[in-house]
Parts: sequence; C-alpha cells; structure tokens
Amino acid sequence: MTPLLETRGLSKTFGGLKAVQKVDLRIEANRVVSVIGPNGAGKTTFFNCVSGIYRPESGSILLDGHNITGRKPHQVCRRGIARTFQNIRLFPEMSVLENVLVAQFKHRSISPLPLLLHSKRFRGQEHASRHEALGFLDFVGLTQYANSPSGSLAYGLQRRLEIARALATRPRLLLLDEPAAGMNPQETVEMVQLVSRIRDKGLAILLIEHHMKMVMAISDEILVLDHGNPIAHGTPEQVRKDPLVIRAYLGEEISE
Amino acid sequence: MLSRYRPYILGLLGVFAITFPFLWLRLVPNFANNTIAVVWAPMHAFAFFGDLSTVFVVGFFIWLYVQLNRRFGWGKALARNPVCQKIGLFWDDNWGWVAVILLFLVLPLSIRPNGSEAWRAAGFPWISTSTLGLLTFAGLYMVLAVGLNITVGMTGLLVLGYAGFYAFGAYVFALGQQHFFFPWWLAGPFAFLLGGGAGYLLGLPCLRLRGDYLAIVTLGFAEAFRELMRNLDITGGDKGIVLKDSSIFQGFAGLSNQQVCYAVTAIILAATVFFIQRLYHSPVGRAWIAIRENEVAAAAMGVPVVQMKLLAFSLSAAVAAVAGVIYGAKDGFVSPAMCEFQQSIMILAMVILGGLGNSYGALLGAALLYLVPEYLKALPSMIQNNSVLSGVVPKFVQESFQHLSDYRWLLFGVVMVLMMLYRPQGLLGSARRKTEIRYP
Repeated sequence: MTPLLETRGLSKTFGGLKAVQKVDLRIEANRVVSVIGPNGAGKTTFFNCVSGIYRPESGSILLDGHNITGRKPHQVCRRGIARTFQNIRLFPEMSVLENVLVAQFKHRSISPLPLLLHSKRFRGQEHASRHEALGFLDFVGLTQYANSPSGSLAYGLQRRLEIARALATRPRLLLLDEPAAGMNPQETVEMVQLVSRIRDKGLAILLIEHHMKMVMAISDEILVLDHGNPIAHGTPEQVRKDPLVIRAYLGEEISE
Repeated sequence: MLSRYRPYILGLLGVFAITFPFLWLRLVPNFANNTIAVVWAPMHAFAFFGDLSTVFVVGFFIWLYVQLNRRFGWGKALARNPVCQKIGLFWDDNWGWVAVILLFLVLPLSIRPNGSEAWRAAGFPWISTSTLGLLTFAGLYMVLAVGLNITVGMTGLLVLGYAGFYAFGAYVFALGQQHFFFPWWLAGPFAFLLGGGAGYLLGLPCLRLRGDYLAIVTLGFAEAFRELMRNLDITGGDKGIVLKDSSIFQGFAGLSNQQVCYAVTAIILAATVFFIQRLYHSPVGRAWIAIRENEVAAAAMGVPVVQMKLLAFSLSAAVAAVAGVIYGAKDGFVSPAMCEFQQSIMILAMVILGGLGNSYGALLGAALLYLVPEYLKALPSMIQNNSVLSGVVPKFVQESFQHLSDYRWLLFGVVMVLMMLYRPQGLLGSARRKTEIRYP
C-alpha cells in the first residue's frame, strides 16, 4: 500500500551547510509522526522542503505515490498538505475569520463575472465559506474572537488560529511546526488534545516539537534529526532508549 | 442633543466669523463726508460658497446617508428586499452604492442647461465651467488613485511609474484616432485591454521575484515610454498630439464637451469603485490582502501568489489606461509630460494620504491632493477680483499668495512627513479589520 506521504533521500544544503541529509520517511493517514532534534538540526528545513517553500537538492517527495518534488507551495497545498509556522505567520490586519477564509481560496471558483457582480451563486458560496470557517474556528475554540483582528490575539490563540487556517485548506497531511512553543503546561495539554482530535478526523500529522512530554504522549513514530542526519527512527519507546539520541541531546559525557 | 452637535455649530459659527468682514459685508466709502458705510452684502459669500458647493453637497449626502442608515437601518432593509437580493445590490458593500448614488445626485447639479447665467443671476450656486473642469480632473485622479490602490494598497507592491500606463492609454487613444479613426468609446475598452496586457507583460518577469523589483521596472517603463514618445515621429515628439476634434463629446444630448466629460468621468469612476470593491470583498481581494500581509503564509495556504499579483497589477494598469483615454478626450491634447515622474509620485501620494488598501481613502486622498493646490492657485485672483478682500488683505500678503502654488510641493512634503509621523495608516486607514460576519 502506498503511504500518504513518502520522502526518499531528501537532502538540502545551504552553501556548505548540509541542513537536511537523506531523510526517508513514510506517513500513513491517522498517524502522528514527530520530528525532533536539537536546535539547528534541520527540522524546519525539512518542513520547508515538504511544503514547497524550499526546493530540495536531491531526493523526492511523493504524495499518494505522485511526485510533488519542486512544486510551488500553493500547488503542494492544493494537493492536500497544509502547514503552520514556527514563527507565527498570520495576516495580522485581517480578522480571525478572514484569516481562515483566505485558506479556502483553492476551494472557491474565481470566474470573473460572479465575482464582479456578486451573483446569487457567489453569495451562496460565500455564505457556505463563512459557515465552514466558523466551524473550524469552533473546532479550535476561537469562535468568540471571529471578528477581532488576528494581530491582537494572545500568543497561544494565534497558534490555534494558524491550525484552524491550515485545516481550512482541507488537507490530508498537516505539518505542525512547534505548535506548543512558548505555551504553559495547561495550554500544552490543550494543544495535545487538539492535535489528537485532528488526528481522529483522519488526518496524518507531521509534528515538530520540543516539549518531550507532548511528543512522547502523542506520537506514533518519532524521527530524530541531528545536524541534518536522521539518527533514529521508531516508536517513542525505541527512540527514548537509543544511545545516539541520548548523546545528541545530552552530550557524550553525561550519557554514560 | 446640543452637546453632540456643538462642534459642528461652533465650526459653522467660526467660519461665519472668520469670513464675516470679507464676504458678508461691504464697505461703501462716502467721499462727500469722508465716512465709510458698512452695508450688509452677502452676495460675495454666496459666490464664494457657490464654488465650494459641490464639496458641501457631497459631504451633506454622505452625512445624510450615514445618518439614515444608522437610524432606520436603510441598508439592512434594502439588503432584505428580494429584488435587491436577486441582483446582488446592497449586499455587503453599501459604500460602493453610496458613491454611485452621490455621483448621480451631484451630476444634475453640475451639468446645467445652457443659459444657466439666468440661474446664477437668480442666486443658485451652480458651479462654473472652470470648476467643472477641475472636478473632471479630480475625478480622473480619483480613478487613478483607486486603480493604483489595488497594487500598492491591497497587494502591497510598490509601483513608481503608474503614470506610464496613464500616458499609454492616452496615446493609444490619440494614435488610434489619428490612424484608425477610433472614437473615444471604442478606445476606452481597447485601452483597457491593451493597458492590462502591457501590465501583464511588464509584471511577468519581475513579479516572479520577491522584493521591490516592480517599483524599479515600472519606473523604467514610465521613463522609457516618455522618451520613446518624445523621439518618435509618429507621436509628434515633445509637442505631443493634438486630437483631430478636441471637442469629442460636443453636442451629446445638448451638453457641452466639458459637461459630458464630467459625466463620463463620473460614471467610469463609479463603475471602477464599484467593481474594485466587489473584488475586494471576494476570495481574490482576500488573497491580495493576504499577500500583502504575509506572502509566504499566503502561498502556503494555497494562494497562487504570482498569478494574483499579476492580476492586481494588470488590473491597475488597465484602469490607468482608461483614465488616459478620458484625459485625451477631455483635453484634446496628449503629450509626453503626462508620464513625468512627478505625476506617478503624486498618484502614489494620494493613495498613501488616504490610507493604503482603502478605496475610499484613495478617493479622499485624490480629491484633497488635487483640489487643494488648485484652490490655492485660484486664491490670488479670487482675492483680486473681490473688491472687499482686495482692499482688506495687505498687498504683501496678496503678492506672496501669487506664488503660493509654487510652494505646493514643499507643503506637500511637509504634509507627507507629518502623516508618516502621526498617522502612518493614512486618513481613513484600512477598512479591512472592520469587516465582520454580517451575512445572512
């Protein structure tokens, strides 16, 4: 059976720096796969390659067996991969609802006449869009903020909005780049719940996270990167005991 | 009640007080006994405010509309009307319709029947032909500002040579008329398509790159276009092209060229604002704003960034080209001076002054930046022709007013610096964050 997403020997270098080297990964639907590693390990670069923001030097990315290597970000999104960003990238001047509406672009017809005249059909679509967007806001618990400018939201809520916005593209694979960064323990627990609810909807989730508790609690599989190299890959239990991982994280001396 | 209107009442009283000695009274010297009689003579005031009447009328109707809308929910009632629902009017963007309504209300005021001197004599404050010309130009600048706002304000791409497309449209019309006998109404759509095509071709190489390449490329385009027009034989070089029949609109429905020009400008302006606002409140408009706010995120959310930028830019260019056609038809003369760098900067300043990303801000900015210097220009002659004012205002002030319009660029710079310091979002700011869920 072909996996939902497969990367084969994915590599990316910046000048002399080998940011990502030969990463092989397979993700099935309904699974949470975490990518962990020390700072600068190439996790976000890996995400950027998968979502089309960077073009990988070598290797390939297959979605449902179709090669999507080197596609533009919007084409990758169109095929069903959505992402959030480590450094939050909302549209701050737009309202919370509109942030989600933007993400529905690919589901909307943009034939000129209905757009210019706001025909009855167009209004129906717009109405449906709003309804659906409110549904996503409800899913992440932001309904009450629908009309406020997204730039004014609290930090944790902005992260949730990023997830709602990514969900609005109706993806099959969701890339979450440190969704719990900077959150307190309570918010982290809520984020774990949110992520598992998303998984239960039938999405595959690729997760970058530094909160080890969260990673261990939620992941089905963990991939560990160090200096761009995949050094371990397996279930949380296997990874936890892997000597290479311990050395990468804690340094050689203490690991003994 | 009174406290709410106090500022307006005080303002009116203030205007009255300041203008009282000049406009409402007349000093009549009596040489027989060396006395000066003060006579109540409000005619000057009527003449003065008559020329400003359009501004007041427009302001009054805006105020009236807002009040009615707020008190009685007119907009909502109309939105619920089944006929309006069917054709999609009054749905989400009442303001677009306000512009249309206002223009058609002001239109009959501005276009008066021939023999209107009788009307003026009867005391009606109709605007003069010269003022009508000014308003036509103001309307053209409004079209340009609203068009540029798509690219600069909504999509967040800097364009420094917008007047290039304006001149492009004018030359399309002028050359088309000279060589292919194009009437203006055919040249309009033709220039729209050609201008859009030119914008597309120009944007194609530079919009694929990130950064402000578009600013430099459009700047180059405007300059190159101007030099080309100056040096080609077919375009008459620096002298430009005098259109075959300068009074192109003459005789249309018994109106003068100026009047029809104004009407056409007003209709094109209303249509431009209307359609641009419709686009703004659609997935395309949201995509533009998203690109302005965060290009990477917009792309990652499935917005085809390059295509949307190209659409915005070529639409801007097309609108400018249509404005150029009207300019040619109005002035009967097209020259390379149309796309001087100063022109482009002026249009850009209108957009920035009014508020980036807000069409109504662009309208306001264009009206202010075009009309205020024109009124300043008219000020010295107005003082001279007014027997009371010319007596009261000291000679040196009058003389310095003669050169007031020379300083308008200086004033302009000061205004811009102050704006950037104290109100960087422009006079009206971006209306985007006010958009709410108000769909049925």
